[in-house]
Amino acid sequence: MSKKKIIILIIVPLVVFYVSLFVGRYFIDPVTVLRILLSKIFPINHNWTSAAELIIIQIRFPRAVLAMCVGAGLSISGTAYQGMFRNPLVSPDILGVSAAAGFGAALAILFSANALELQLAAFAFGILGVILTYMLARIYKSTPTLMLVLSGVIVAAFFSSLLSGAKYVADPESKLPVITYWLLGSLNKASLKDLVTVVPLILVSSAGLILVSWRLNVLAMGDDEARSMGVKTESFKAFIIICTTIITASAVSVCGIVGWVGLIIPHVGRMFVGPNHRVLLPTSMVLGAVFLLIVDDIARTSTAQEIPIGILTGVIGAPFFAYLLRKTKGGWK
Amino acid sequence: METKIQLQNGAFSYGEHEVFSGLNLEIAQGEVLSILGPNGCGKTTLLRCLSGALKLKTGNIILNGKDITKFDVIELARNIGFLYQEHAASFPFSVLEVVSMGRTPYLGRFASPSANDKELAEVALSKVGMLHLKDKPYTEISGGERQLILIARTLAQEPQVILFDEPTSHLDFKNQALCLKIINKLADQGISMVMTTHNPNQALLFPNMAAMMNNGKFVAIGKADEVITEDTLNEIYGIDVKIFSVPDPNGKGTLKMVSPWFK
Repeated sequence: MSKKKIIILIIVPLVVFYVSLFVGRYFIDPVTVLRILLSKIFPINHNWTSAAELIIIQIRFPRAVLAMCVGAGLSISGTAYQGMFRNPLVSPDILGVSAAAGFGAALAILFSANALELQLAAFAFGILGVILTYMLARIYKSTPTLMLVLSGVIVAAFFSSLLSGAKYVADPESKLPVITYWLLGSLNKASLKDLVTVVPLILVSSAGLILVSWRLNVLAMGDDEARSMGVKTESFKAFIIICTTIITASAVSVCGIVGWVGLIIPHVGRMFVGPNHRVLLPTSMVLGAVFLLIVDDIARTSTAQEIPIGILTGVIGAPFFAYLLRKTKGGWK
Repeated sequence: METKIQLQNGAFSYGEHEVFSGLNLEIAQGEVLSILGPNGCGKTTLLRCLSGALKLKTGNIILNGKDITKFDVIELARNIGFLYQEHAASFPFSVLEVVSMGRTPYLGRFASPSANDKELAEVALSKVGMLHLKDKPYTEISGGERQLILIARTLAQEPQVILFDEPTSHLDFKNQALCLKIINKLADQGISMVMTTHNPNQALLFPNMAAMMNNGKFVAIGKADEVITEDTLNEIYGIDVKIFSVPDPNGKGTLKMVSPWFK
């Protein structure tokens, strides 16, 4: 990778992150933002309102960090899955994690759970969904790709139906709007506490994927060939599934279902740095982080009422994917 | 000469369905065994067993004097290379990246190829005469070139045994010739090889060993010109052919050739 690209991948996220802290309905000038941030490390005279500090530290900072982590996590998951399934049309929820997490969240809302319980339920059901898929796909001590994909379809369909059931019985005045809004995805519940729960889970699992990125290249040659080159394909695939599932379940649990990111960012990454996962995985993370942060900035600033982020990623993602499809003429090669 | 790989009374079945049984073979260093047989006779399954990817139902495979079930995946990859018949290209990795993948059994779990590994990959590429393609995406080269690249990847594994599943089946005449020349050269360098093929003439080019397989049994195994006869070809393929001898252009006696015209 050229030096220029590395510099772009370092500078752009920093700039976007900084800008994200001062844009918003309550405008705080860039210098004050910087001073507020630095005051947490260095003793600086407080010449700003406590409201400004509250907004920066308690609201915008965690939200921006979370947006970047979720974007990065969904993107690295999508990239890893596309490599593992050897298919560029795969997204992180192929094994049913989002559908199952969605049902878990809906269930929590039905039982009037608090925010933490909702998050835990979504996370736990997401993991459960993937475990079901994996068990369903396992035949003759192996998990062939096709079996995984089909099992994922089955599990996703099953939990989608349960979710529909949950919506059907939900009180249309109080519970149903909450479920619907949650499913559309939003980062507006982001808080400092997420930075010590969800963020480490996403970062550690991502680091796990980056560590094995060379082997992911080998796995993209197909199971048989990877095995002939010394890769224990079954345990390796299980490791990838565990990492991506923790990442995706964490992301969904904290901000609902955000589609498209994990599907399109890997393509952008591949166009930018090529298919070698050693470089592609970290690049996808950075691109995904920047993308979701920008989308979230648009979501919270463009209208008086916040736009659910899942709507925006789709509105931006679908045309972009169409553009890619036309440009590559369906080839992807 | 030293025996590299040996199959003793091997049998394999998928559930109730028996694929082959009672097979014996022994390949010394630098020997090439061609296996001929109709589709579905069990050739590919036999290769997969020899590679250690499938476990025999009964019998043993001895690699370098040690039972193959005692090898782990990494040791197997360092000793045995496998060229699969079909390679579905996925992402546009560069040719050098693909060949470097052959170094994986020598890398730590979290490592990627070092400068030294890349050098070895380049050496492997030059052995197949494809070094000039090293920076090209391997999805944008011809099928013949890709096959040679995959052979280079196998060579980067530094195996002592290479298994080829119909290595020339998708190649044009030039690339078939190149591929066979490379196999011949590798045999001279002491690599033992097993190759399945549908072309008896191709098997006759590697005179020291051939096997005729049908319905999961060896009809004959031994020197190629003794094994590939009008009778055995008739027995396994059910057609009449004519075998005739031509003078070897290299002046080493005669070469046998199979012709389907029979009058």
